Amino acid sequence: MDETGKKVGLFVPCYVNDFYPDAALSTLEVLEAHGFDVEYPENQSCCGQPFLNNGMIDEARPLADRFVGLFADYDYVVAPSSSCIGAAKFRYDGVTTDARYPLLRPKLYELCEFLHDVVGVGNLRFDCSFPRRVGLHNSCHAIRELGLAAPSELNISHYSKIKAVLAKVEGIEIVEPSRDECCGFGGTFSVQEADVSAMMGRDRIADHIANGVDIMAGVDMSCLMHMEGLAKRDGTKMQFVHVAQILAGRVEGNSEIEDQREEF
Amino acid sequence: MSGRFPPMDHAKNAAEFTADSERAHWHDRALWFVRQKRDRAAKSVPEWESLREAAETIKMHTMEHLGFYLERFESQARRNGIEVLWAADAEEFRHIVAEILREHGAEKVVKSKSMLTEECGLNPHLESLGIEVTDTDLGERIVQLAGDHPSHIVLPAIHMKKEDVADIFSKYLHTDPDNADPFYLTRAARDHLREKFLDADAAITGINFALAEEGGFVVCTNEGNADLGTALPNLHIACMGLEKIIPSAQDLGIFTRLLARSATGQAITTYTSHFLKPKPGGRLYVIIVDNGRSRLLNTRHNKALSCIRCGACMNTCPVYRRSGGHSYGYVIPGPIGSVLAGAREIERFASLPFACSLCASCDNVCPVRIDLHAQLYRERRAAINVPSYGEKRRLLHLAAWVMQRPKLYGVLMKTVRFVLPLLPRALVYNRFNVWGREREVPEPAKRSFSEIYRERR
Amino acid sequence: MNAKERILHALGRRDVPKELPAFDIGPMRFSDVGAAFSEALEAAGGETVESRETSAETIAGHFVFEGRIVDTRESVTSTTNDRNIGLLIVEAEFGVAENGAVWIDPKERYPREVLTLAENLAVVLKREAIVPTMHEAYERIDFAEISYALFMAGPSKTADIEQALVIGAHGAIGMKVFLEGEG
Repeated sequence: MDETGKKVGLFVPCYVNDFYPDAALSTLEVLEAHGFDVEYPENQSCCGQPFLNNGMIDEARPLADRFVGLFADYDYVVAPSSSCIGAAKFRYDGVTTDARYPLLRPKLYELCEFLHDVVGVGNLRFDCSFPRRVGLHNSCHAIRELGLAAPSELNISHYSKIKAVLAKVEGIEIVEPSRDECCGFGGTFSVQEADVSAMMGRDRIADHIANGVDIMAGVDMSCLMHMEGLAKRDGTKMQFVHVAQILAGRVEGNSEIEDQREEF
Repeated sequence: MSGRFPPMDHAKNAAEFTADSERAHWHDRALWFVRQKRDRAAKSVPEWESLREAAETIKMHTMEHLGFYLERFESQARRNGIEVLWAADAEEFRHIVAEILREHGAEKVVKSKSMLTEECGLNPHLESLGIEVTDTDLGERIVQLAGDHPSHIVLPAIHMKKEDVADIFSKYLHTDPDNADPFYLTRAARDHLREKFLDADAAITGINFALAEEGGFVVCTNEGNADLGTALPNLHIACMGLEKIIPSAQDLGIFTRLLARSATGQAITTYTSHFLKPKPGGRLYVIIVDNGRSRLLNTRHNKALSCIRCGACMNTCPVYRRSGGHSYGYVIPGPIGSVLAGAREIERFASLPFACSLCASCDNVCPVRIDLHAQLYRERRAAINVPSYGEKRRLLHLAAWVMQRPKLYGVLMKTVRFVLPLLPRALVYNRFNVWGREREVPEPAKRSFSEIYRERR
Repeated sequence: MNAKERILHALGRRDVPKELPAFDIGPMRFSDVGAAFSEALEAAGGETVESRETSAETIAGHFVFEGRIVDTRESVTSTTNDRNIGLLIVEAEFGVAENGAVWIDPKERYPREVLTLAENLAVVLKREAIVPTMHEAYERIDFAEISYALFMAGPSKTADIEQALVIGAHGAIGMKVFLEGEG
């Protein structure tokens, strides 16, 4: 299937835009490197998830409408976030008033999901190597909502689209923690239930440390932001990167990247 | 009922639990161990996921026809010589039980595990009438002697350490206070409770599954306390929430394969006991209790009535494991408890739908596939309108107002990115910064992605 | 309205439901149900004994106990409140391979309390009477004939103190199944 040249709308989560722009830029680069015509609609805002997750439908509605309106006409919509895509894909029913929503829904993809399902693992090319031991953070929305990997609770065959994509990077060693458990971010959960949230995050970090890992990668920068905040406070030596940054060769430790990388 | 109790605050209770980090981690590990046993058991059955789907279908079907199946059960049970009584609420239920006991002159009662009796406050009521009620499940006996409440529906005393048990038993069973060996303590309880069994005038049990077609019911235990308790006295009162009904015994094939594997990772409970008729010379009563269930049936939380009380959602819940069962302030804790409590009394339990990171692990372990996290997600629509969340609601409303104006938001964030690094630490990590209590605030980027994108074009 | 009427009224419809479809569970199969049964029973804290000869004496030789032997294959006198049953011998109608449970129905032959009062339980089971799963098990039971009967999988147990498994909660402390017939 040749998807080259198809128009992809890039959705960038609000906090990623201001705090982790490199994850968004990496996503853009990876998509372009695979031949897509990527556009970032300027007037985008939050997907509405914080309001949806707090039962505030009226507040979420204009944001959902904006999302549907801005992205309805693309061939695909891709975001470096499983939780935002999950919100748009599964939580807009009865929220958005835009009639184009049912048509948009099947076009929504988290980055790894898009690379795996639309581009195809066999067609992936990442012109970089990453000879490091990477702890993979399996975020809940990725594995339990979007089905990017088999969650440990279900009696189904094991698979992981994230691993399959990441494994295409030369030299990488992917290590998964002993529990595919929630890190405790959970949006406003992180402040509403601050103590349990912090304990959950620290437990995940400890799990990765026990695996001899000093860099964690995931498809949700929000989980990583939470754990990064804890690690920094505790003086724990751990680096947190988005999977896209490794795929784009934009993380220290990536080699042969200088000539691939666009300069700004 | 609402307004009778002040709102409970799960986060506050949870903070007290996590403050003892060692104990909270011990609790987390103990329950994760149970979750792992459940995983192994579930994965040893190739058709596991089809079993869950079948169980879900049967339960949903039964809930749609509850009236029919309950009446069918009543008439079939009566043919078997079982007396069936109905209680609309907790008060009626307590009254009925007390009346039966009074009629039979029963003063000493042994009770096997029933979350329903806990829900309806049966023990304190009977005790106020001078009736001695002995909980015979070991975990329940421990919490009963401690003057405490179960913190888990399958493992009632999971919040207690063996040293706590040794302490309590030394007071009441005169065991060696320094011997906290579970084997020693269990044997002491066996001897103590054996006397209670032999001495009892009546037995009260819960019901795991009531069979409409056969007019009987099933009680599942590992200890054998329901069997021993009901075998000796001539009076047996079995109590069921009206959702415990299933169409027929053939459905038990599905449910008995799911229940224990989900609960503890055992292939089946040690005792899966079927009661169809009173014992020779004995009397057998079944009390069908509503107590708010029929109201739930007509709400979007109806699926929560499918629960078979295995406790798997508690064992897998990352919040429950770290906050303990008591932090929920409701008779049933964890994800299913949060759904039920919130559906019952949202003003009081508004913090429970938020005591969830929406990780959805509970949905995946639930043997009857209740969409627990989606239920909690939906329950938040009511919870956020509770007065105690006024401030949160106003803040989010303001945030949404800004978010709907991307240009304004962009300018604001640009200012934040510029100012934040210049601020003194004490100002950033002020007492209103809940995020920053345990975490560092992320470092703002020099340029946002939108800016980079614009320059790149 | 009385409580029943109020509840049924609140529940709404009372029409006769359509029958549930038959479920295509495709239950697990075992190449050797006897071996699977033994393994499952062992996991439940019990034990199987291959035995051609199941006299009370032979069975008793497999247990260490004090107190008297009650063999329910013979007539049993009233034993209510009997604190002194060291070994109870019962027959099971069938066993279940997937979980090591045996179906025990005391019928009118012996009072139900002996099943939990006894310190040790010996269950005699015909090897050919082992079914693969609970689905087949329930197909074998005629509930019209039952007053009280149970599936029992291993000795009574609890893990209520710190999740430490202790065999022997209220019922039997030891439980062995004697498999009769050709292996």
